[in-house]
Amino acid sequence: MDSEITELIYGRSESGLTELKRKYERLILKVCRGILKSPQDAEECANDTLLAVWDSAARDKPDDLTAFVCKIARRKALNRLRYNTAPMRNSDLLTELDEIAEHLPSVGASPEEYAESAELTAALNEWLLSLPEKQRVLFMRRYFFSDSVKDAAKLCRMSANAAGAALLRLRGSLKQFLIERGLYYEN
Amino acid sequence: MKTNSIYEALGNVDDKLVAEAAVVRRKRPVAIIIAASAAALVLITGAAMVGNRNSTFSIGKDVAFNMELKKHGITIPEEYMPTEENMYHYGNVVDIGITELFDKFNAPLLINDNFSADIDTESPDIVPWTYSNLNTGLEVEVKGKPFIQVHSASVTFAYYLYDKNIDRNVYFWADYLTDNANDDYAIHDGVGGTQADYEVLRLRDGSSCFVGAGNAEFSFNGVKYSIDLGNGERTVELTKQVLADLDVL
Repeated sequence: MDSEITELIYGRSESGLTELKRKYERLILKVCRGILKSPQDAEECANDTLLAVWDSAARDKPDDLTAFVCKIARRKALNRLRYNTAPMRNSDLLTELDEIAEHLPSVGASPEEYAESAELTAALNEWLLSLPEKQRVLFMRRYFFSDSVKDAAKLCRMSANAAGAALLRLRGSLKQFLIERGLYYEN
Repeated sequence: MKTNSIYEALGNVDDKLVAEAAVVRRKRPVAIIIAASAAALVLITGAAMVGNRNSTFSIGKDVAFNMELKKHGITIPEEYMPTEENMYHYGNVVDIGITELFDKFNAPLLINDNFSADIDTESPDIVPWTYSNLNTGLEVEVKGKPFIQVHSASVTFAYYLYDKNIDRNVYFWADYLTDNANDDYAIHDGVGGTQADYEVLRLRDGSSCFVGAGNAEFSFNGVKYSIDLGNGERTVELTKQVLADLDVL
């Protein structure tokens, strides 16, 4: 139970880390592998994530430990990817980022635009919640968890082709939604 | 590394959305019933259904059938050509119609007198989220190689055709393998396990087709199609009617 794990973490009991690892190591590895591709990097990143969760869960007291763990794993993996690929980007590494970047250009990274990203997050929440569950999960599996199209399709019980087409439509729908909200900018 | 605020912002979406996608499990009850029925069938008949190289009928947790993509003499117009930097091109098409667009790619369009390419985008049977451009309902995506694992290089058209016989707009996704693809590509995809109501039918070209209640997946003459009836009545019989109107059955 997550509540028992978080209680152990709050109490700084070492068995909290053991339980955390037992329950979440596979999920964390999945998130990291989706982004990093290199098994060794993914494993190191997963260990970093476990420690980060152990360190921060007591402070942040997450309501949903699964989401908390996944978000930290994703952030850690993306940071590692940035480190690995700077200054030259390896175009083979992150096709899902290419998909979303080509279709939905970045709104930028200046402080003003950073503030705007809170608005962007709220818009993303609204758009995702407006989707049927199957499409929502498909989108999240592909672009949050970095599943391959084939894996995401399997999970959603679709053919890979249908999933590819659905993702194409979802990206178009998101673009339209962001345009309507004034949150879409061409590069 | 290229950054993208939208991709980054996805990392901050609501916990419930993350948890929902994190804990999703494949649904199995229907698959188990189908697998048990298939096992019983094998016991009764003493034989399993076996197809040719590209037609594996496996009734198990997925319904597999022989969807096959073949190379076509597709000519990708310059404006749709993917580059090394952008491995795919995506675009809403606003200035030309469906038949003109297919001509531009030298791609065969599955259409006959039962269908019209002129659609009413205000029609209630059209699901708005199915495409972003409500003015034309026409999209094209060109994937360069190697873009995703599924195809080495392909063109996907998304469009509506109006079926005159049933007075419904039918949504099509049509995948064409380009002539610069690595190989002919045979697909054996599992489809439809969560649908209780479906049939697998033999098509005119010898391939097979998954027919669900309001949707179908099949390949015909080497092009892979997914069709959907959108809003309104959705039955296997109605889907079969669309396939008959397409003259693929």
